[in-house]
Amino acid sequence: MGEKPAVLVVGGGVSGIQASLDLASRGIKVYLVEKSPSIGGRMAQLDKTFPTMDCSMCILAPKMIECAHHPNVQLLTYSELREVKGSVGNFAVEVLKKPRYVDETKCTGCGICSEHCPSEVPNEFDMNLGIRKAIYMPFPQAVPRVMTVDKENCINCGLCEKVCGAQAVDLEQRAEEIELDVGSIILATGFDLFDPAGLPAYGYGRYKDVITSLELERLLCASGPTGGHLVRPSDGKMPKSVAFIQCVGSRDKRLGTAYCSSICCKYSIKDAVLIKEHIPDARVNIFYIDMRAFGRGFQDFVNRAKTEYGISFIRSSPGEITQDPAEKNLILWFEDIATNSVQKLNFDLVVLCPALLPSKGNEKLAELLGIEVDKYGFFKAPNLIANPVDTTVPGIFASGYCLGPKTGDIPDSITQGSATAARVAEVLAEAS
Amino acid sequence: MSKENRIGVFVCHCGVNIGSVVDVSSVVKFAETLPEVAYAEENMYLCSEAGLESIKDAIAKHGLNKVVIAACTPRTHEILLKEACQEAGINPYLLEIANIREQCSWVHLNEPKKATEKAKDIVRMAVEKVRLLEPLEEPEIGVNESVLVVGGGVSGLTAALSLANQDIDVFMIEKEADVGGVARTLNEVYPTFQKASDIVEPFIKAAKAHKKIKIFTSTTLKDIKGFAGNFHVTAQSEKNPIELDVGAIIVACGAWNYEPAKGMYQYGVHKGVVTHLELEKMLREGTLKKPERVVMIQCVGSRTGELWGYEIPSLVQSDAARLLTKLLAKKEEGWPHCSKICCMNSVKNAILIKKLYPEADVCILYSDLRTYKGYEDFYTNARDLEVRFIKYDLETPPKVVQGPKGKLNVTVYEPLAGREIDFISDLVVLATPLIPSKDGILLSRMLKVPLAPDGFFMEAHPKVKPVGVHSEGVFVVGTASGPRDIPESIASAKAAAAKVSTFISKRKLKTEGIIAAVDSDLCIGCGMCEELCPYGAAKIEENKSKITEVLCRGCGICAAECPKQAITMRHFTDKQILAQVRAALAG
Amino acid sequence: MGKTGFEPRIIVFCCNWRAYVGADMAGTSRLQYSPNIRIIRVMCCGRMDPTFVLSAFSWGADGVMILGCHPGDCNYLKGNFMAERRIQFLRQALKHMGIEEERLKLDWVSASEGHKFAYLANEMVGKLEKLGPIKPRLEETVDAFRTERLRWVMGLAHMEPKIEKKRYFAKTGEIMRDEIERQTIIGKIKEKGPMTVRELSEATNIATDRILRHIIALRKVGTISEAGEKEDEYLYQVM
Repeated sequence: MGEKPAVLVVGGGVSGIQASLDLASRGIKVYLVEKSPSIGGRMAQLDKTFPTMDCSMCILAPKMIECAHHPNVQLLTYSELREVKGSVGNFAVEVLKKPRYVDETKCTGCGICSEHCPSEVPNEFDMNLGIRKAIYMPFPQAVPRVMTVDKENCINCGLCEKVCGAQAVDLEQRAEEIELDVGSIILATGFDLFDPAGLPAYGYGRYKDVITSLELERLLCASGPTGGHLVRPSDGKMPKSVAFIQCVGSRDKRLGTAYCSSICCKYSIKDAVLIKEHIPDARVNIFYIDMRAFGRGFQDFVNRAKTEYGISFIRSSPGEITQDPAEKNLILWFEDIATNSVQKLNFDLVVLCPALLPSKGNEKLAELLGIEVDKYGFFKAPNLIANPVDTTVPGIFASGYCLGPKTGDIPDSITQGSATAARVAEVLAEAS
Repeated sequence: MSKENRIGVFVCHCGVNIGSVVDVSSVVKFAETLPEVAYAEENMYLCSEAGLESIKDAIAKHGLNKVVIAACTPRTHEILLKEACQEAGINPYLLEIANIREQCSWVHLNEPKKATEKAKDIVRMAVEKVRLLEPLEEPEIGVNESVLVVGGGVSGLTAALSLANQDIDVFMIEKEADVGGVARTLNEVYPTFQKASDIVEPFIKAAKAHKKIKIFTSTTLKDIKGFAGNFHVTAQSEKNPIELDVGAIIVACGAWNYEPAKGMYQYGVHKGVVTHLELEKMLREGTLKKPERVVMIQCVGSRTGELWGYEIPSLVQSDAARLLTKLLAKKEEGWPHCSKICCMNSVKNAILIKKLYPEADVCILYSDLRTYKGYEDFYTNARDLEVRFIKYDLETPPKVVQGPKGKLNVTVYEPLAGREIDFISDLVVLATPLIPSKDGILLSRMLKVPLAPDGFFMEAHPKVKPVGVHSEGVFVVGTASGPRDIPESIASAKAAAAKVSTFISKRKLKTEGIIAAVDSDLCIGCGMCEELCPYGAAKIEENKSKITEVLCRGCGICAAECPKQAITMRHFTDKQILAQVRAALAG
Repeated sequence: MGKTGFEPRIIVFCCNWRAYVGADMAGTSRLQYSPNIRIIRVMCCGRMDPTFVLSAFSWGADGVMILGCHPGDCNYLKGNFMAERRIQFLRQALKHMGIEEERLKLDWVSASEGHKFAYLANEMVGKLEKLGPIKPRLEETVDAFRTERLRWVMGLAHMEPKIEKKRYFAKTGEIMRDEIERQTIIGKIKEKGPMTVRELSEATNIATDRILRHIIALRKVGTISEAGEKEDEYLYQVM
């Protein structure tokens, strides 16, 4: 009766968190590796979730905290997978723990260092709309609750070190190479957004008021840079007219993203409703090709959006966005299928719903692990129907959006997380 | 609730010096209109007996509690006027002097109207400052009555004995196994040809026997904390750590002799090339074999290279490691100063060699022959003994290469004759300078005392305070503050002893009133003040800045740099200075 | 006296040990110079807080001179070096504010240099007569130089060996501009009451997106918060 082998989970989003908790509660030791300073992933960035309009962080935070405290979960944040050898039941793994220049065992997360740090940096968690310091915590509910130093932007003045009451700052800290033996590996690396700058007609990057949906989430979120007051980035005005453009970069063979990203129609309705709640007299138009609000409760969602909130759905794929030089408003040009003519509408704010792409590190991970990816770069499940969370290598599983848009939404990610946990348990039982 | 200000303004005519240009009466009338001025008057000569009485009377009669005197520069009579105020019961820091002579009437002789307006502005500025002035005290602290002497060479021994004979306790720390220093390794010294050991041995004996002197040999200093009157010293002897509490420190750690880089004039390559210190040893031990020709080369490694001066502007704060690296780098480059004693030393050695071996040809290659202090006869004596003196230019130094039959070939261009001279020599003596020592550098960091641009300790003032340094309670003697001969070293040591005994006998030390003060509530413990204070007076303790008042000299650097503006300079607070600026522009 | 009748007003900060004595020496030697200068004594030019210089400008001084001891001669060892570095830092801010370089002068006057003192006084008056009176309002720059962030970064100029130099210089310019703009925003709101982003932009000549960025930063530390709405914009107030 040997000791149960441990499991490596790569990716600290909601999917990876769920898998970790399930395994941990079965008495299996889990190493949860996350490349950013805190676990939480995309769900932590959201304001409310569809269709129930629950507060995202409120659901996620308890799971994050459980991960932090569970005796069977070891968090390795600000870390990356470097090397993998071996096979199912017996993987030898090397994880690189990047130096955060703060001693995790001493730091209390009080944040006083951050208050005094003179170096300001755009906050990646806030999609660069907010500000953080060179020594920072990405968001207030971060787990682990410790600070991290971004050496790229640090001027090495040492003030953080001086004001830290716990003497936790260690500007000489080095990266750590951690070697682990695990029986199985779960990948839950999520997604990245397509960069709309790749479609210059929409003016993303050129016009400050053309933003992505994640940027909108941060603006709507009460813990975001504007405290949840929706303002447009160019001049702080409340947008009285907002357009959503679906399928930005999706379903586009030229860009190699021919698939439908599956959740954008749903979240755009959710965001449209939120905007109407914030600014009741705003005009909101959703420009779509097909309204893919499928599944339980969504048709109702669409109906309420139209009738109760007065959100207008326009079936059209807009061609171009320009700017009125005098008023600085955005002009959206689109083909009105009904009248078969080119129309334009003014908007204060345009929200692009970009394609969801495989996480940037997926290709490298696939190489490291020797697993296959599909033609879009998502991890391939060879036996898609019977074993939806298996990858092409035994003992390595994947869950969540890194498997592709077949994972619909948060409930799907959580379900798959548990599914992989189950698969892992099976496999470890076989191997021992 | 602060007491109401009742300011008295006294405007001096200074005879005609002020009165002939500035309309003093109108300045007085103007002063009366200024806020919180209770009284104003004019006077012919405020510094006279009558003038001072008038001030004191007015203070009493009108219940004045602050004073502005518009007259000549404070640098003439500030002390006198402060005393007058004190006698009248006013804290001397509640006096402000408005300079309307040197900085007004005397420089605007032909513009009386403008001078008068300017005088009014100056008085207004002074009144605005004095309104905000606070009374200041000059607290006293006790002084520990024992002394630490660092270094047991001839200077250290002299100082120790002088103090001990005045019944003062002395601790001496010496890093070698025995005291005596470099003097023990010297032969006969100029101009008397006394044996150096004869001079220093009696000192050693007396010091070792003296009840009041405790000597720690084979001991190195580890750390010095505290301040003038209250130093806490930690040292390490072979076995035990040593902790001492002393009131004053005398630095007598000496200097190094420059060691030429290997190959310089064949030093380290040919055994016939030695430094003059090595020659002393040979002469003392009688191991000098009869040479055919001795060539002494002056200024080897001196009067060349760069000052290591102000490239590191905050010399006090530069860390030891950097300075030691620079020290080593100078080996190749050489030192810019003249070491003063080498010319005399070489002439003396030349005479000695000639007396030993009259047939030997002794040549001194010199750039400038510095037989100083009226030792000219020494020089003539040497010439009489047929010692040859050959001049060379620093730009074209002599060259030494291996010569025939294992000897050395010395070539030098003599500018007076306009030609090159060649010598075959079997002994080349390099006159190398005294240079700052590693011990001195480390000690200067420990004591937070700056080095001068030439690397030796910086004197408080080369003329009026030659043995003091910028910190109170620390004195530097002997070659630690530059090249010196034995009588000069002894003189400096005695001078320091005198200063120390005065310092100690006071039993108390008065601190200045114009010093820094920290508002702990604002302070975040960032340490900027500690980094920048030239005197080590600001230290971070328990995450807050603490100013050691007795060390603070009132420069104000900390106040100007503090990110939270938590530090004030008493008597020159931000508010007081800004009030003067506003007043200057109010007219 | 200038041809235009403009009489420049100059504040001269003199260090107690040398420059002030140099000024006295000018008097003792009866050297004559224009009466436009007003001398303020400090113990050391190292005492010079940049807010003294900026306040002087904002209260109407057309020119400011700081006179200290020659390098190597400072009574407090290195006060003049500190002043030099600090003034270099301050000059960047003056550029931002459109203040001509010649209005601020840092120079060294020894106790015996009465001639130099008189020369500097006259030279400054001459220069200022050509430049004319000072124009911009500067209270916000003074306030910026009172912020911890800017003062800490200024002090770092003296700690060369430790800090990451390239990044430091790049960041310094940003930080100075940020803090001056932020103090301008705060100043305007204090002056006029709660304002919207566009109103602030018009009042301060700072682009609206930069104003928004500053608002985001200031609300994060609790200096500024929303104070209701005005048409389709939020009003911001100073806490």
